[in-house]
Amino acid sequence: MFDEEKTINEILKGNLDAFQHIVKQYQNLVYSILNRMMNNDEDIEDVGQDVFIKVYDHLKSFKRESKLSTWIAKITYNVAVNYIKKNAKHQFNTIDDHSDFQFSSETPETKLIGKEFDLYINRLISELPLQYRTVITLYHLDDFSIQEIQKVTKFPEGTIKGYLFRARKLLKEKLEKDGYQ
Amino acid sequence: MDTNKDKKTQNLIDDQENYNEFEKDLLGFNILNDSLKKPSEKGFSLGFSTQIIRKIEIKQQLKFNLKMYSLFSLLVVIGLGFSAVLFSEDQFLMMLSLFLKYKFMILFSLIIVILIQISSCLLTSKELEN
Repeated sequence: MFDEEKTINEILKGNLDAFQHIVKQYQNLVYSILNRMMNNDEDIEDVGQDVFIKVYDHLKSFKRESKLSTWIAKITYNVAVNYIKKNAKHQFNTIDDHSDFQFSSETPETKLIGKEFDLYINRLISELPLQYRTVITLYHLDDFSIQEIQKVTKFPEGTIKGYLFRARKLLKEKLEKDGYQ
Repeated sequence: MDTNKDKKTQNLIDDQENYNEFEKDLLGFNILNDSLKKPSEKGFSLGFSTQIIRKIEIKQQLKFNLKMYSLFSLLVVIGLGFSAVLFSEDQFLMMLSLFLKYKFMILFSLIIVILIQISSCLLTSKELEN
């Protein structure tokens, strides 16, 4: 079984094999966040590597005040936001730019089920503003609590709930329009 | 300016209203809730963790090399200082004439060593980028 505390101590002693365990344990979490925040697969791979190298470099400063997963998610979020700001300024829009947000995906001709429906939802989510995509991923996919999302993104609690509510509302309205209930 | 402020204030009020709505909202629309919980089938490449370990090892090697070079430079400086104190003027002139006699060989060896070091640094940083 994966013993987080023991693994961290091993890494701090310089054991790189132990760090490989941490990478394997949390790579799905990092991928899920980056996949929703960024569009290009190659960028996701590069930024993912940067995230884990940062985790390794800063592990000494991890004070165990939060869960390791929250700490890694926070690093992932910060690295991704910096990367987006630096490399694709047009992608980093604020919520205000989307006050009259509309999905560009057209209603599918037939009713989708199973994997096809999930792919459709993912496509819709990828069209949402960055902040909505981030909180909806952390909350639903990574099972983070509102307090944990607050630690990761530094958004106030009310704002996180607002983003979640509005993101879900937009998705629900689109799905209802497409004929789903 | 004012319009922006009004917009932000309105957003804050909306957030507060959404605060309670959000709790109720989670109870309905299961088709969406279920889909949102499903992870993506894609992921990082197969050798992802190995690549990270390799990059960390290269970074550590670079750090070690830098420390070694700094130590070597320090020793050279100390050695030069000592030789200035220990050797007489005649001994210096003898060494200088020896250097001038073999200057091409010494300069050639130095250039070769510097080129090897530079190419090694370039190769390492290229490897880090990949």
